[in-house]
Amino acid sequence: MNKSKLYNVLKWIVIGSILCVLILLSAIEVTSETHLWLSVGAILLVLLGSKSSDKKLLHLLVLITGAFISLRYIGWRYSDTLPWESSFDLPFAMLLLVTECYGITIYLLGMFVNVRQKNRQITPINTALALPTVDVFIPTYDESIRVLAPTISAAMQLEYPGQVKIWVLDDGGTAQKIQQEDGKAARAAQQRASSIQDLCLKLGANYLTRPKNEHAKAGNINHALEYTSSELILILDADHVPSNDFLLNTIGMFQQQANLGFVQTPHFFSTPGPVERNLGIDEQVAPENEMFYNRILSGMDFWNASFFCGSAAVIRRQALLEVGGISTRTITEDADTALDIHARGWDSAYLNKAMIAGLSPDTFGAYVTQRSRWGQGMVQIFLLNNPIFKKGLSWPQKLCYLNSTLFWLFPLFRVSYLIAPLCYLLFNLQIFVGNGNDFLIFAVPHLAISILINQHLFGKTRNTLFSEFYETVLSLYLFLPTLSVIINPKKPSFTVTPKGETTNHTHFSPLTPVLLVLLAIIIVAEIWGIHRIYNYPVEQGQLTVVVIFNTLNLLLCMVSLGAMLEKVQRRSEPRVPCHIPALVKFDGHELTAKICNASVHGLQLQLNSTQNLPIKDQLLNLIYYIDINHAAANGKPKYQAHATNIQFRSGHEQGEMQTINCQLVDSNEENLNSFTQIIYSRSEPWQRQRQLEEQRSKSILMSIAHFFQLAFSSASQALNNVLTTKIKTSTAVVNSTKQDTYQ
Amino acid sequence: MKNFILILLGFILSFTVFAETKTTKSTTVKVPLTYIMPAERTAKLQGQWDKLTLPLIILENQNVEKMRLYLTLSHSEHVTNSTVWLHLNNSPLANIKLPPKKGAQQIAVNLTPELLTQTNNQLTIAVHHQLPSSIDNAQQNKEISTEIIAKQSFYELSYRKNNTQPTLANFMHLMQSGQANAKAINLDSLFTTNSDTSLSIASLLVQGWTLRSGSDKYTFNYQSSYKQSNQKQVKHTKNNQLTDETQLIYGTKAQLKNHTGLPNKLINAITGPFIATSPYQSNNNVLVISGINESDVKVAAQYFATANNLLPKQAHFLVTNLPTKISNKVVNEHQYHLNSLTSQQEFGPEPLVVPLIMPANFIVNQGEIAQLNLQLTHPKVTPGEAEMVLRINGERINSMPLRASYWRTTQHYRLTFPMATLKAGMNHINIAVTGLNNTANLTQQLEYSPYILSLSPTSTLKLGAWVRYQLGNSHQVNANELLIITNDDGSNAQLSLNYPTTSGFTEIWQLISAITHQARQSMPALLLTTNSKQTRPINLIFNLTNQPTITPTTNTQVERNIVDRVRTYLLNMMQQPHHETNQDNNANARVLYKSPQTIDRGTPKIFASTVREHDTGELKVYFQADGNTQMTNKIADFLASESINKNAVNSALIMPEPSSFRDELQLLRAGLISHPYFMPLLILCLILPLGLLFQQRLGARK
Repeated sequence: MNKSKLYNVLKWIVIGSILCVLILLSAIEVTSETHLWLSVGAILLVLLGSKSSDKKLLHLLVLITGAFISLRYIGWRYSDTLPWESSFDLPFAMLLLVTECYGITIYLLGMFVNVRQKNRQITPINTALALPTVDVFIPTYDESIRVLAPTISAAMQLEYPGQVKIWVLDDGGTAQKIQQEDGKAARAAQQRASSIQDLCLKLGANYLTRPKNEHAKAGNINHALEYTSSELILILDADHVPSNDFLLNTIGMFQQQANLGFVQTPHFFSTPGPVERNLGIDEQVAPENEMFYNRILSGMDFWNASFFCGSAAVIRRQALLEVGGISTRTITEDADTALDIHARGWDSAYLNKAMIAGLSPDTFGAYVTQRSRWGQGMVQIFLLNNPIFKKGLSWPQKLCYLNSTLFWLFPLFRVSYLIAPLCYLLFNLQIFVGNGNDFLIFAVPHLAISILINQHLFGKTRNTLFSEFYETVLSLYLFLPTLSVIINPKKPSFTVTPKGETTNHTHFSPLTPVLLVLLAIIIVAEIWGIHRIYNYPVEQGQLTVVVIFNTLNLLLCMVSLGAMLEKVQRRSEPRVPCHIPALVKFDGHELTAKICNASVHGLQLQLNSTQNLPIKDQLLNLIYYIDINHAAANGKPKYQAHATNIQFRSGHEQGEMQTINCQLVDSNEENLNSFTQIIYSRSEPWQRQRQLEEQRSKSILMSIAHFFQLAFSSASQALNNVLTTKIKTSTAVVNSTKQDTYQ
Repeated sequence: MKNFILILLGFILSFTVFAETKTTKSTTVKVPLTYIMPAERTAKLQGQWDKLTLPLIILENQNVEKMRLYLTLSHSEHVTNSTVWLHLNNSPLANIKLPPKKGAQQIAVNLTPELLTQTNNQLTIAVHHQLPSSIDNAQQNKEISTEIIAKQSFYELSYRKNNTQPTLANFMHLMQSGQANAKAINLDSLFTTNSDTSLSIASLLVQGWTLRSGSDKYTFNYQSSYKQSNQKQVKHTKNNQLTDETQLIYGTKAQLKNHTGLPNKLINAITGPFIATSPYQSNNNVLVISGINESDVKVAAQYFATANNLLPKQAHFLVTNLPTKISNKVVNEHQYHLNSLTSQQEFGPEPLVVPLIMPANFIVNQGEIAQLNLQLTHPKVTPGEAEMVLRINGERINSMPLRASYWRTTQHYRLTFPMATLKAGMNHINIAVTGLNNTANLTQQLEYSPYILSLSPTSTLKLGAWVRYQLGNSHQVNANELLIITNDDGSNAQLSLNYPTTSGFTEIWQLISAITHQARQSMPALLLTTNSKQTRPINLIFNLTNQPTITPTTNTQVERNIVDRVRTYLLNMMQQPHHETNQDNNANARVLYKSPQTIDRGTPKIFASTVREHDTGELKVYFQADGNTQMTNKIADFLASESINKNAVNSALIMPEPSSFRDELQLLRAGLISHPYFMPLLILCLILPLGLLFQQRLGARK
């Protein structure tokens, strides 16, 4: 054994010994006074560490301290708080303990995953080397052409010095779909397929379909692999519109690293998520996905364990072929495939630069559909392709995948958090044996430190209590799907998340009744609990603890109720701010103008005049100038003129100017390309927006205060909605634009 | 003529017997309640309502003529009025209203003979306190009490003897009844000298009497036939009547034959280890322990010494085999089902009493608690209406209200108590239920109706951790610490009696009785000797002279390595004067600790001081007195001054026993508890290098 090996072994022995002593100390029972010293010391250390995030050693000490305090807590819970003697209470108490163990496991795994972040820089393409060929796959199933068209157009505009081919993989145009028994659906499929084919033809993209819809998206991509041959494959979801620089920023890594299996990039959403939008906080908090894309994936990348997220990723064909193509074992084919690729020894990379803009689910129902698939798929991976037993993965990779898959069991455990206080308050079940003092001594330090550490790790992307809220609002609806996949792991089937929906009035989601029932029970328990605290002083200690948790559940449910109150959503596509110089001509007038914001089908103009206004529905001629040199080093703009006809819809004066809203009249490919370019060509605005969202982060106390305020405003809005309009939970009008065709 | 003479003789004999029976005089015995007071609780009746049950035993050969109870009671403050109910065998006897009065009040009640059964009678004394409205619930249970002053309370039993043949079972009842309290119990040895065997057997008889009577209040007097070889050992009065003194006579078959007037029939029955009671109808205060040889006698005495061994309902019997002794001591950090410790399945009218025998010389960390996990079925209560009160050895430690539930009748409760409230030897965990199921009855002063709680078999007692310690050098032991001699049936201990003059060794028996009573365990292998040579690891040396015949070793400096010194230091941390412990579940556990006292080294005049031999590890405990009377007084003071009921160590000069990893952890805990800031520092010291090592590993990954 050489010296360095011996040194390594010794180091591991020391680490192991210290860990053993720490575990031993975590189980040792001491007096309240000693525990208080320990807790205060730990909190001070964590506070110190949180304030100086750049000090890596301190950061590590914070995480180890947090883990130690949590281990002590769970040790105490197991040894001192279970009613072992009561066969009636024990199952419920054990359920709560298992739930807490799960929570702490995820918390500890989260610490491990996020112990360091890998912030990769862009690797420029080396044109001196051979340029890999790239195929861009745009799998689609039933998305409207309105959603799909910008993606194809943007893909066609991707900048890359090498060869790029764009493939639209249409699973909505398969023989199976076109020849289905339902004649109306068959005709609609036929019409949609023709439209897409036509669009592909006009834009220069390749159209590919197959006879049968086998294995959903995974099968679609695998089918395309047989017809294509490039070295690298960029996969884009139908609504994921790439910026021009996507390939320029990612392909260089493949040139540099021969063993690189895939590069994943963040999913940026140009529309707010339904939860944030319904709560009216889309401009106050970071989107839900940001915690994953702006923090966790970077942490996983440190351990070479970032995974493929289904879109916005470039995969090396060789790596994909080695694992037999995209995995069809589960309905989250992306993570499953990534796991297989890692197990074959390929590396991965995560470039934390948003270069695609997608659409968030538009309704709460669509959001639940999407998360249900993710949840079921990840649980399937846990059951059918368990990372711990997967050969070829390193231990850090195993732990990272374990964290990602285990997390999705949260619906089961979150529901038990919701019902645990009810068991005590309404059914007198002893789910926890102890009193207020015990809780103060053991639970409060653990909770305080875990909140501080979560803030330290994820504070920029997730406010305090919001994780609990997202889990709560989903758990009610993901509980049964998760349970069903545990019972029958092979049963779930792929469901496409609806995109591009609109809502023409404020209403409760059809899913609301479930929450209302739970909310009613929690309120009854809360009133009963408070009544007992005031009237039966002898039970105060334990009762107060339980009522505090019930109150938290009540607040979570109140916010959840707000999230289910679907707000009006008239636009099916995002309006993106921009500054495009333009000229508007109508009735012999010629006005200078500026395009303030635009979507693929509409725009807002600012006219430099308050005179000569168009009348409603009047056709206007628009000439606009797009800077085609935005990426040039010297920064001098180089404008290219485009002309199109627009229809005036509405307008209002603003000082010496007037703002008018218009709709594009000509839905041709030139307009599509130029407006796609205006909206999606540059990734810098998306990156700026992400940075802006980071700056919205709040301190713990502010977050909690905000959450309380949100709970009460949600409840009041919900009540208001009930009082002013009739409850129409089951008659929500959803205007799908599936029938749209693109000319 | 011959026939006539026979008939006449028969008539005369019958008349004589009849006349003798007819003239059997009435006898009165006085039994102070201290002899029958249950050990599981004090004589204090606490809270708004409480009760105490006493056993009243009438022997088989007694016909009760009159029985009168005298109770001396004393109230605590705040009590305006109180009512005392007396029940005999669950039948109401008396209902007495006591006015508020400072100082003791005496009540006397006749116990109706018709309500008495022949052997086991239960006298229940219940008290209801009427309180001013200014007293809240917590105060009620804490401060309001009526104490039965046991020394001044007694019952008088007047009886005539009947013709029932004495049996060993009856002798057993005599021991339990307290009726033999008036005079010393005679330990009459027929062995020719104060041999080790003779003294050891006497010790076994003391242990047997103590355990079977349940009291250590009796006095014993040892007599050897060596000085009285010509006297008959079964005592008679001047009128040749049998005396009422209690005699435990032991010797071999031959010695019995030579030195006692016992009938040949009885002597002939001795064919092995043998136990018999008095062969005389009129006297059942004699117990005979015998055998063919000394060894047999010892076996019979060992049988008697173990309280679990039954004394049959016959006049004599041969001990065929000694049952295997089951250790009743509990184990560190173990959990016990309550039904393995008590046979009670219900409580309420009676408190739940869980006896618990703790090992000698154990010491616990501050804050160490034990848990009583009770799965109870009880009627629905209004919140705050009823509560369980936990007492350890009579001291109120904790309480918990019964829960109100609309639909559950079975509930889980956890009552905790500090391990420091336990003492070495026998402990009584007592859970009483306060509050009445029917308060209307109470106001009408008719009857009390307490809640009845059923105990599920799953209920457990979970003990905390403790560490055993060894007595060090120049350590002044307390009576509690002497329980160490009960370990391994006393086989590690000897008592060296260095008495130059003849003695009844009353004080030695007093000490042995106290230790046995406290340990609830006999010591069949304990050696008593007049030889000063130490043959066992622990030697209690009783020197009845100012000049010790056995000089304590002067070289008491023990060289110990640093680990041992640290262990001793940490052990001493465990017995630092602690703060008042405030325990869970509304507990106001008050545990008193004595301050450590150190004595000067090499001062043999200190009573009960230790010398530990460095070479052999042998321990000597010196009991030094100038004379017999002084020794008696000193031992009485020794037993009384350091209450045997306190788990306290009165010296810092103690050492941990060689122990397991689990015990070492307890020592570590002691350090962490004594220096609370040490734990965060220790953790920091551990995570700092760990963090550095991790950082190095993570840095290498980049």
